[in-house]
Amino acid sequence: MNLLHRKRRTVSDAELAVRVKALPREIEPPLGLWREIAPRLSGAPPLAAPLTASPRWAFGAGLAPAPFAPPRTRWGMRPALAAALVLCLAGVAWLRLDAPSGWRVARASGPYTLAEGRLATAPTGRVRLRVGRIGEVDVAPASRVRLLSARPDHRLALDRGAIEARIAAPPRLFYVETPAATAVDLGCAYTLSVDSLGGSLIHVALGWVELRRGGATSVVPFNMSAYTRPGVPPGTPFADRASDSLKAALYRFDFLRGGDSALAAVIRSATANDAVTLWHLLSRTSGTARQAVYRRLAVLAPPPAGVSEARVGALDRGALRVWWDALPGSPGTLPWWQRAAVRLAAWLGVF
Amino acid sequence: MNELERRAQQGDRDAFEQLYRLHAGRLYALCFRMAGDAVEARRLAQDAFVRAWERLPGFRGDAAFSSWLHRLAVNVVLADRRAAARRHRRVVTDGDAVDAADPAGGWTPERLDLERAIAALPPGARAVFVLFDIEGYGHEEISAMTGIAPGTSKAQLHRARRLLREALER
Repeated sequence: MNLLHRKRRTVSDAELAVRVKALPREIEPPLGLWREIAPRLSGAPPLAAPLTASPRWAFGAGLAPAPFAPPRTRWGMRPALAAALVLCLAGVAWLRLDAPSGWRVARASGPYTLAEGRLATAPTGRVRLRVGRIGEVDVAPASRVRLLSARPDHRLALDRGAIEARIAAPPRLFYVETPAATAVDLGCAYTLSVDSLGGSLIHVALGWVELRRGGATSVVPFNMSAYTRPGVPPGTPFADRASDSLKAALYRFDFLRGGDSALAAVIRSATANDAVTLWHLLSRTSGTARQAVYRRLAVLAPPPAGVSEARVGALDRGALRVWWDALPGSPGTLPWWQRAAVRLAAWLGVF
Repeated sequence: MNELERRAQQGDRDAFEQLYRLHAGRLYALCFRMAGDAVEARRLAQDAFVRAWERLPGFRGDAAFSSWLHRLAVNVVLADRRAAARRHRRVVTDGDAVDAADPAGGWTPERLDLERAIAALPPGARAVFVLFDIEGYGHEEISAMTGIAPGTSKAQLHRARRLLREALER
């Protein structure tokens, strides 16, 4: 009876008008939208930009259009690259003992402010920061960055906007805090953007980045990306070459409580390019869902000897690590000279 | 025409990227509300910016760039709707679409209710409502853009408001 007699709430024209008027004029566009637009722009090449020392400078809204294509090296260059890597790693002790100090604005274009460690760029402003002796960070227009520390490691907070980091140093010397997660540099180059709601999108061009929130982590290898959202664990990494259907399903699984149907769509869409994605999903699922992930991953990237379904099903760390090392893009599958550099890094205690 | 717009017009993609940053929020809001679907809005926003890049040489600066871009985006959305109708393709619009646009939250329940109700409007009524009540176009302008009579535009607006009130009363 009460239900029958419940008074129906009425909305007047005036109330509707007030609510409509209160709607925001702007809605944050999806992260990565510019990245989708930029390759579609044809026509005249860009004029020389104010900061053109590196073509990577011209990165887009949120993310670079494609400035971070992995280096395509010829065989002749590999020894030189190996030597450069070894020299880089040999500086570890020096870097650790005498951590580079401070942040410095190396270049700027357009308006920006920097006061008390807070950097803000205008919609037309760009800033290149020197990160001590270990690298540089390009801060995109309309970004908000806080410089948190420079010793013993370099740490900044990206509250809004985008950065492009190029770090030539051993892992775990450079950290970027975002509202949703911490990006830990594992020796790499990457772009990272944060939207007005605190969500982020990272794209790794070289090396690896670890996304961390509480005890949850995602390791994003080169040529892969990952989303984060405040209040939830970092998203599952996905490959640049992943299909749109996989990316959409993965997003539903990670952030929209997509559950089994989203997971099934991910598994269905997965190809050999998505082995790292499936590997991460092993520890984000349970029971039959984990079994399904295991079986698909086992087809796409057969488990090494000793890695059984039972061990993976129990999330045996050793088994997972062995399988990880065998996946494309992981250190275990790199060319000899890169493996040597990684081993040296491990020997120096920085991995 | 300001320096940024001039540079973009001459083919400077960095300048165009800055224009994108300045206007993307407004343009995406228009696409999102006109389409009632986050996935469609993303595609339409892309198309609008690509079209703007292609049409920039014809931008003379008589009107503000924001108005020119906005009008261009409206035309992109309406043209897409006409093409979709010809193909008998119905864009799926439901409440989930609104959630997908902004999964991290940040929307008040009242705003979410209203955005969902707008997304659920029939396409014709939604377009007129968004253009008139949110974007501030007049019925004559809407008539010119959409090809419907001003009287029809008024009727669609009346219908949209009634449907919205009913949806919010539930």
